[in-house]
Order: sequence, then C-alpha cells, then structure tokens
Amino acid sequence: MKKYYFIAAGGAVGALLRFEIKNAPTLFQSADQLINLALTILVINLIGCLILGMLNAVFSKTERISTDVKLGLTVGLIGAFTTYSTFCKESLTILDAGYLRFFCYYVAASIILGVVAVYLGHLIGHHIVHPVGKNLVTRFSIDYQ
Amino acid sequence: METLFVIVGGALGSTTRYYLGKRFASRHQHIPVGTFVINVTGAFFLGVVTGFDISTLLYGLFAEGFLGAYTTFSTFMFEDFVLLQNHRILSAIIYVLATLVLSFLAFYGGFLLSTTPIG
Repeated sequence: MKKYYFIAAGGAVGALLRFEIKNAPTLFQSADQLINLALTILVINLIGCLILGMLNAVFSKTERISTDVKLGLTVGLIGAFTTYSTFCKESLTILDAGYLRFFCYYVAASIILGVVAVYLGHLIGHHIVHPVGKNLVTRFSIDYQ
Repeated sequence: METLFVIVGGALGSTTRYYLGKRFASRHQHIPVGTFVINVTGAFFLGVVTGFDISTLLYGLFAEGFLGAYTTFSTFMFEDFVLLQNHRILSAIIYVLATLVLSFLAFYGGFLLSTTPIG
C-alpha cells in the first residue's frame, strides 16, 4: 500500500511539471501555435525517455534505494511527466489542420527519437553505476592476462 | 486553482496506471499488454473529453492531470527498447504500430462519440 503513496506523489509532481512546461510560452516560436505545442510535447516526452532509461539502468544495479522510492520516480514522476494521450491528441490535431507531412514526420520522430533517448539514458545510467575509469582498469587486467 | 486540479488528477492517474498495469502484466510475455491497453483507453477517453465542452478546471483535472498521467510515453518507449534489446524486432514493430493505429482510432472514436448528438 505504501508504494501507492510514493507513486501518487511522483505522479502529482510529474503532471504538474508537464503542465507548467506545456504552458511556458517561450519554448518554440514558430508562426503556428499547433506546431509549437506538438514540439513542446515531443521535448517533454524525449526528456522523460532519457531520464527513464537512465533511472532504470541505475536502479537495476543498486539495492540501497528502496522499491517505494524507485517506483515513485519511475512509474510516478516520469510516467506522469510523459504522456501518450496528449501526444495522440496533438498528432491528430496537426493532421486535422492539414499538415499531413508534418504529422508523418512528427509521429516517426517521436517513436525513433524516443527509443534513441531511452538507449542514451541507459548508457548514461550504466556509466553512473560502472564509471569508465573502473571499467578501464578491469579491461586492462584482462588484457594483461 | 487549475494547477491543483492537475496535481490531483496526476496522482490518481499514475496510481491507476500502476494498478491496472500490474493486473495485465503477468499474463503476457511478448507484447507489453498493460501499457498498450492503458495508452489506447487513455487516448479514447481524451477523445471523449476533448469533444465535450467542459470548463478549464475540469479539463485540467481529467485531461491534463488524470489522462496525462494515466497514459505514458516513457514506459511505452522503454518497453520497446527492451524488446529490441532482446532481439524481438518483430514484437517491437508490432507493439509500436498497434499502439499508434489503435490509439488514433480510439481517440477519433471517442471524439465522435461525444460530439455526435444522440437521437
């Protein structure tokens, strides 16, 4: 039961952060408001993908952090910060406005960059748990044998 | 005031996702059915909410807060990354395409449902 409080707290903060960033007027300044909003959602989702990839890589290797805190940050904070439903709505709004090519690029870019962001985050997280210096030392000793 | 509604919606949405996700997760291995069902149903309900002419506060609670936090993009992408990492290329492609196509249809269906007058 306790983990639900952590997820709820993370989710509240995540949703609030997304809402505040979404309403920040200065992020993109193209002539069309629809495109600005869609790109803002894309940036929010990509940041979330990067951080989730990183957190999951770190959390899988450490037991010092409790499961409640891990769930609060991954399922709660990042899960609520990123959003699929708004991505869906903005994609279809763009399509409805007649930007067929932008719609195709937008959806493709969201998916491809999303997976790439998770992968980059995963690499960063891996380096946090296994610092480069330490890896090099290990590799050296193997080479010398 | 709207911020408060978004916070409450976000807390409820994320816990609902975790609860439902766990209920679906154990039965299927190849495709992450939990997140799939969550994102498609979330898109449907956002379509419904978008169609209704509701106040900014209620939109903040249901759409920005609850449905925004209930659905998730990061876990969707993370699961796809894990499928690719395990060389389940076909599953990874099917998972993405099925989510995209069905959620777009679901959003549109929900929108039509709430904008079409009854009778």
